[in-house]
Amino acid sequence: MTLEVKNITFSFNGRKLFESTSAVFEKSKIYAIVGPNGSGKTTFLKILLSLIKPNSGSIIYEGKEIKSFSHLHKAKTFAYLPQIPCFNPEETLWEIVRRGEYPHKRIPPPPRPLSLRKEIAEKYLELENLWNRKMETLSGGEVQRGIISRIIIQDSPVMVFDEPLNHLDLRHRLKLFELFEKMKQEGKIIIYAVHDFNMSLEYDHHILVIDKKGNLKQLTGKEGEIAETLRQIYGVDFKIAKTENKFYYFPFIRKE
Amino acid sequence: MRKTFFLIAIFFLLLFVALFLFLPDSLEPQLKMKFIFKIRLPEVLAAVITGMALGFSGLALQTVLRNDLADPYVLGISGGSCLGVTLSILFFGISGSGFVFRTASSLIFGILSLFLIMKISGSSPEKLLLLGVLSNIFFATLARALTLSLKPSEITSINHFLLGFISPLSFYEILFSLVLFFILLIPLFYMGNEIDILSFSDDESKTIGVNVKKTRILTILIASVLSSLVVSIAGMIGFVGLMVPHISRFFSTNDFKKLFISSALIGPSIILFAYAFTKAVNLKVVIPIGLYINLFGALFFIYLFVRKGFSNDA
Repeated sequence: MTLEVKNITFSFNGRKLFESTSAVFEKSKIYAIVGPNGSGKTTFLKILLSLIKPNSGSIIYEGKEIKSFSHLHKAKTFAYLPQIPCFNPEETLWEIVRRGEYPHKRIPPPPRPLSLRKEIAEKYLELENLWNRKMETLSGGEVQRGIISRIIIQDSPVMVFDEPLNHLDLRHRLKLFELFEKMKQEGKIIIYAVHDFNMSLEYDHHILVIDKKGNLKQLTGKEGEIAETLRQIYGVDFKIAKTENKFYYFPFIRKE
Repeated sequence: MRKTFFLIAIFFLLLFVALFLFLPDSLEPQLKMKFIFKIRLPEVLAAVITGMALGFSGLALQTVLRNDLADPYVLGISGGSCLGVTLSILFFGISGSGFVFRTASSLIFGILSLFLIMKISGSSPEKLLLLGVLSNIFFATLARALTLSLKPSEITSINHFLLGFISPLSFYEILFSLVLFFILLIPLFYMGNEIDILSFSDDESKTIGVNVKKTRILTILIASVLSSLVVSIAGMIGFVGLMVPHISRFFSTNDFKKLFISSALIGPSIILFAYAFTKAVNLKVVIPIGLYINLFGALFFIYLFVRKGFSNDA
């Protein structure tokens, strides 16, 4: 079960974002997409979800082009957390999250019952006291956790999150990554955009950096090489820190 | 559940009042039943259909456009429809332009007006509302200007249309309205889940599996046909479509299908109340119910606007 991106090209407002981008995402793996502001992280995710049509190239899931999928088939393949979710603030969290069940309302029935999916979301995202609250009464982080649970309810094999760590406190960031681990064990493909990738390194996610030509490069190699790649992409220097047997990278600006 | 019973009770109470109370004083006792069946019943049926159609139309538009201030009147559908009805009366006379023809003409102009406004305003809710209100004034004034050459009696009937006036419907008109009504309501009710999901962004709705374009256009189309039907029955009654969903939300959860059912009771209740009120005041001149409704509705609109601003996102 793989998701394949083949030779995607895309320009926006005369600017070439992707010149010929290809990537392969495999099941039971977690991918973090990083890159500076405006490098095309969101655009890439939207192309993946066929919300934006690329100028050329194709997205292939299990050997079939996504283009040919029906709306419902797409929803049963992908679930998506946008960077800025939109909802009616007067509704309760559960009223909103429950709609993630929509693609499963028709036959065939979902692989596992709604109650089980709700339980998983509730446990990892700590939502037990939030379900019946109106959205307008929730804090930014609570809204974020709430909307993430809709993706868990939808339960699609490919889960795409655009900056899921936004507004989350440190504890809930860890909890979310634990939830990702759980989804990974269940065979999902998880793809998310993120800025601070040190926690992604901690969890051994596959880190893909978007370079100037829009290519996705896996962040691998010796720690020195990685720091150099990061320096070129972000235009700032990186300190390397080591704990046990892992390396982390912290940006800094060199004083004259 | 208790709230729903309350709504049902209110509805039937108003139905009873509108049908049986405030009869003309001069009426002879033996003619009472005849008056009720021949005059009151057709008017009350027209009032019920009007209220339901406006409520459904407002509810559908508010959800798919993600705008709490949307309603067929505010969006300019009613204004366009009114011009359509006026034109058909102008060309074929009030009796010559059949009800079906009036509805069709009202629909064509209503939809034209809405799509024109949506085209110009793009996705901006501010522009949508302002243009809608402006186009209502424009079309209503145009309609009035067109009627200046008419005989005074015809002007009065067109003025009634522009203000919102319940007039008795013939058996066939009621039959036609009811059939059209149910043909439209079934798909609207059936699309409930999709309409609910459209309260999310388009991207989210698409990834949840909804055909956004199809659902939105179909819903707007149904809402427009409903409001055109209202205009051809009762003229331009404003703000009912705006008020009904807000009152419904007070009585039930934010679920389109549940709101749909409470709207079916609240919309007619508002119109029936206004109708009974016009009968109760019993003035020498006939006052179109639209007058009362517009007065009250405009205040409601101001209240919502002050509380919420232009749109849900704000």
